[in-house]
Amino acid sequence: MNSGPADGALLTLSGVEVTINTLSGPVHPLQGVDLEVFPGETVGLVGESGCGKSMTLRSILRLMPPGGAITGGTVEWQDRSVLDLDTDELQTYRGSEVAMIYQNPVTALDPMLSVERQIVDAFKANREVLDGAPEEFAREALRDLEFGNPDAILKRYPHQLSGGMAQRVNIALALACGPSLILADEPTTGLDMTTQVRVLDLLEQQVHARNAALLFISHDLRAVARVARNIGIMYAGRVVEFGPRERILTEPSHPYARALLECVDLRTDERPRSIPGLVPRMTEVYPLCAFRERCVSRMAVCDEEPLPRHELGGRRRLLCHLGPGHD
Amino acid sequence: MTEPTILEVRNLSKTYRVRRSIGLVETIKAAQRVSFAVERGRTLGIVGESGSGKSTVARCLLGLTPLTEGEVLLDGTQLGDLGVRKMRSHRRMMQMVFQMPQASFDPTHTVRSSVAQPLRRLRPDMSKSEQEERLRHVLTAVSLGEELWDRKPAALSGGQLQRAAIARALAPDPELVVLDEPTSSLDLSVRGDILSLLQELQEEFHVAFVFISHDLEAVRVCAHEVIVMYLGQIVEQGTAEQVFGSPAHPYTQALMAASRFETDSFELGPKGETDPSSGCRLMPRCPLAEGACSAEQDLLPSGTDGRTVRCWKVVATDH
Repeated sequence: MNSGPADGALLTLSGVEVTINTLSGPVHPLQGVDLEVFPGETVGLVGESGCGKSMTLRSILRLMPPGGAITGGTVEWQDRSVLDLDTDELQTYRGSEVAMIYQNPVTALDPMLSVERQIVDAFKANREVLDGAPEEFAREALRDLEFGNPDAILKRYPHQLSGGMAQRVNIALALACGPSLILADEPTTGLDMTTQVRVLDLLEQQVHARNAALLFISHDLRAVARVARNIGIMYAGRVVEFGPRERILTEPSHPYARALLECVDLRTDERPRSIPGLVPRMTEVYPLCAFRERCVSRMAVCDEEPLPRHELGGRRRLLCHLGPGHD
Repeated sequence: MTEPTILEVRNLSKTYRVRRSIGLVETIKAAQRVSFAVERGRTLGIVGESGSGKSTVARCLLGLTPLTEGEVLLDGTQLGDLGVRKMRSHRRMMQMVFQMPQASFDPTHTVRSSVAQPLRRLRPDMSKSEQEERLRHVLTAVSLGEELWDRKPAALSGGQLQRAAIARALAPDPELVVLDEPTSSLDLSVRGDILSLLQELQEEFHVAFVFISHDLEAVRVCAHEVIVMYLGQIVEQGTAEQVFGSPAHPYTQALMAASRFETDSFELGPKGETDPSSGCRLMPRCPLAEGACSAEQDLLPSGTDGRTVRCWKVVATDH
């Protein structure tokens, strides 16, 4: 059921499936991911551990874990198929067109190289012509990320940086190659709360100052809501609901999205909410709704018919038998 | 009705000496003159970011590291005075639940065997059958399905394993359980479960909790009293309603705003490379800072309702 790239989209994922062969048998972390990212926009993906958020980002870069492969669907970058790129093309695509920021900022950097060397190498590897010394570009890159004293930071090694500083260096590295899309995998999760917001805002500002797009994933709905205008909710390897931020935050249609919202918002006057039951182990493919065992709105049709896909216009999309019209 | 105090901490200070290079030893004041009390069956929340000293306080409470100064009294007995043997018998009274349940269980033991361990070690006064009965009691109390008791930790989800960790802490019938970030590694859909469970268990077992977390929402749900720490010092101390309902100290306000990802109301400056060792520790980041902040700040009463705040500006505006 591949519908081809959406008009004008930078990146289009349709029905992406990933299978990983492990010693204890195959695992299916992605079971048909649909997602579009348009130029210059910020899209957020939210979900709990094991829902396939990180695997979605990895499939965009074709970075598969050992034993893993994209077994279905398409990944389109503008008008090209990412799955058909040869090694050279893939090399240019990664970094120069799509760059990634990882969750653990210190281990994402090379411990043996100074900050300056790492940024300069990124410039050299991805830009053919530089008008000026690469060191000057590196200094400028750090200044953009609000380092008051870039010269001192350039001389440092990763272990001499705090988490927040290291993540800002990673952002500088990702931006250095001039990509049109930045993928960010929980970029602020390990940081202190008062630092988190600042790094998040800087990331968004700098990405947008370069007219690049941002695909941001997090388990924290509030972090995603701060930067993303459109939000997707993932469950068991699928984006089960997608829509504008206001809609998702105030009146989501998918029962899982609603339950998740209630868990985030703890009220002292009520018993804290949770979602009973366990996340599926993803050892099989689920043609039916994978949430139905935990769902408060479960109907007979949920156990009989495959998961439907409702396109609701205005980029809203819902994978649920309830459809959009319920209350 | 006030309950008897089960834990009292007086002027707890902990200084670590770190060797930076040859001949250069730096002292880090991880906790400075921290004082608080916890009543039986109540919960004290400790919030703060990394480096605030909340884990240091936890380690000192449990006697895992010696204090540099101050006293910790558990049920009226000063821990520092106890010898090794007496300390062991005192261990029964205080237990701990760690952040990562997967890392706090021996992967080769069954859940049942791990939960039984503190009973065997700390309750030699109980007979085998009493221990067995207690084991069933605590595992049932945390609603861990019996089919999971003989499984290895790898077969349990994070939430299930954290329930087992709570059962293990409660097994020897402690007076105090220190919970160090008990929900931080769990998914949000499970967090509420664990928080409700802790509230129920507190009713049933009448145990005091020290709940340490950077998750303000979770602390707000569970805690009766709260202390907010910054760089080793308590900056605000009061009831949960006081601290969360109307945060007074600039740091508490910034922390609350940041935890909701809203900074429009109050935002701190960036974290400095070096922290001040005298005066208000927050001064370099505080938007309200002025000259008088460089004098040493005391934890002073704010208002008349028992709350204390370490900020002269807040205290001054009260009067």
